Amino acid sequence: MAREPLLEVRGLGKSFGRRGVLRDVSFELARGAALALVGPSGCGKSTLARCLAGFEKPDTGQILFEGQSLGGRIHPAIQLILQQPAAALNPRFTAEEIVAEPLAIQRRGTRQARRERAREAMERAGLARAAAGKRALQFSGGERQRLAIARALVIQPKLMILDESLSGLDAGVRAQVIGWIDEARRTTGLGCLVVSHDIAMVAGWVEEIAVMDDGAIVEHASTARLIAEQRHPLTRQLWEASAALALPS
Amino acid sequence: MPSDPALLQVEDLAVDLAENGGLRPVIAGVSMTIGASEIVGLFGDSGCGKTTLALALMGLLPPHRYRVRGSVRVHGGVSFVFQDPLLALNPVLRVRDQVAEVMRAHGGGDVETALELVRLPVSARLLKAYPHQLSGGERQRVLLALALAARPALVIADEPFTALDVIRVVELAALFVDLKERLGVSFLTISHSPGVLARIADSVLVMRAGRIVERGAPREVFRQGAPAAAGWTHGA
Repeated sequence: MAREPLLEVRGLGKSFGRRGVLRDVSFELARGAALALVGPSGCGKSTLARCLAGFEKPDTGQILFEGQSLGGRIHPAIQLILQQPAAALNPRFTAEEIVAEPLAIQRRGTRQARRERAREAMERAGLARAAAGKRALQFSGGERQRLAIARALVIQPKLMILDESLSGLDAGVRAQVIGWIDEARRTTGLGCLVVSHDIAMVAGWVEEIAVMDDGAIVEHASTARLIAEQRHPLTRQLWEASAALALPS
Repeated sequence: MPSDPALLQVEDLAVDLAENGGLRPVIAGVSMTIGASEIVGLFGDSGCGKTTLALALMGLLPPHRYRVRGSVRVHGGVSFVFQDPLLALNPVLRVRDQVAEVMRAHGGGDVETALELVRLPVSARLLKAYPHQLSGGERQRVLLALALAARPALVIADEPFTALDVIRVVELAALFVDLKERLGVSFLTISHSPGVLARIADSVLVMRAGRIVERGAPREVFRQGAPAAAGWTHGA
C-alpha cells in the first residue's frame, strides 16, 4: 500500500474578482476512501470540485495527486461528474459512443473492445444493452445521469468527483450506482469525493464529511461523529433541514 | 348544497401531442378539484407529464402542437410560477423595476409591500439587483412576489424547490404554508420530492405516464410500500 494519500489539498484559495470563494481549504483523501463536501449553495463546494478536476486554477495552495502537484492541469485519472448531465453529453453521439469516447481519447484497446466495455459499463449503471444505439436526448434525466456515471467509471479512474450527481436518481438506481462505486473502491482503490447539500443523504454512504461555509471548511469529522453531534451551527442547520425533508417512517 | 365553489375544477383532461403526422397521447383522464386555502402537490418522475398538465391548466400549450380536451373551470385568478427563475425573470430589469412593472399591470401597489409579502428583507442591494445577482432562494421569492401581484386565488408552481439547497427548501416550504394561512391563497405545487410535499401539502396527486394513479393525504400516498414511495428520491 502506498504511503502517501491519493489526494492532498493544502491551503487552497480562489477568488472571482474581489469575492473570495475558497479560503485556505485543506484535506486529505486516502485510496479507497469516500469524503463528502457538504454545504449550502454558494459555499464554494462546486468551485473546489472544479479546481480538483483542473477546470479552474486555484490562486493559492496546492493539490497533490498521488504525491504530485496537479499544477492546474486536467489529470486523466480524475473524473468529475457534473450536476447537469444533459449539458455534458454530446447530443449527436449514441449512448455507446458517449460511454466509449473517454477510452478512445486515451487510446485504450481496439474499437471492438471499447464498445464491449462501454456496453458493460452501461449495464452496470442500470441501462439496458438495447439502449446503446439511442442518443442522449432520447433518455430521461435520470438515465442521462447514469450515462454520465458509466462514462466516468469506464476508464477506471483513481479519483471520482460527484457534484450532486446522485440527487436526481431514484432510490433503487442510486443504491445500484453506489454499489458499483463501492466495489471499485474496494477492488481498485478508487477514491471518491461527493459534493452535496443534502447531509442526511451522504451520511448513509460516506465515512467522512467536511462541511463548507463561505469558502472554508468549518467542520470535518467522521460521519458517525457528525450524526451523534453537530458542533458547528451550520452543520446542525443542514442536518435539521435534511432530516426535515426525509419522509416520516 | 351551498358550499364554496372550487377554485379549479378539472374533468377528464386529455392532451395529445402532434408528432410525425399523428397524435401521441401525453395526458389522459385527469380530473381534480382544488378548493380555497389548500396546498395540493403534484408528484411524479421526470417526464411523466407534470409540467404539460400545469401548462394545459393555464392554457399555455401552443395549439399548433397540442390538442387539449376535457374541461378546466377556474373560479378566481390563477398565477403561474415557471420552473427556472433565471429564465422566467427578465435578465435586464432590476428587481425593483421588474416587480413594479407587474404591479402596474395588475392595478398598482408598492414594490416593498410585494417583497415583504414573500418575506424578502427589502434592501437597496435587493432592489437594485439584476436576477443573476440574486441567490437561488431570493430569485424564487421574487418570482413568487410577481405571481402574487395579481392577487390570485391559486398559484401553480412548477418545481419551485428543485434548484435550492436543503436549508432554503425548508424555508420556502414554510413560506408556502404561511401564504396559505395569511392570504388564503391555494397552491398546486409540482415536485418530485416526497419530503417537501409531506411537509406542506394537504393532498397529493401522483402522476405516472400521463395519468393520476393515486391521490390522497401525503401520509397515505407516501406510506411505506406505496407505489409513490418506491421511487422516492431523497431531499429536493
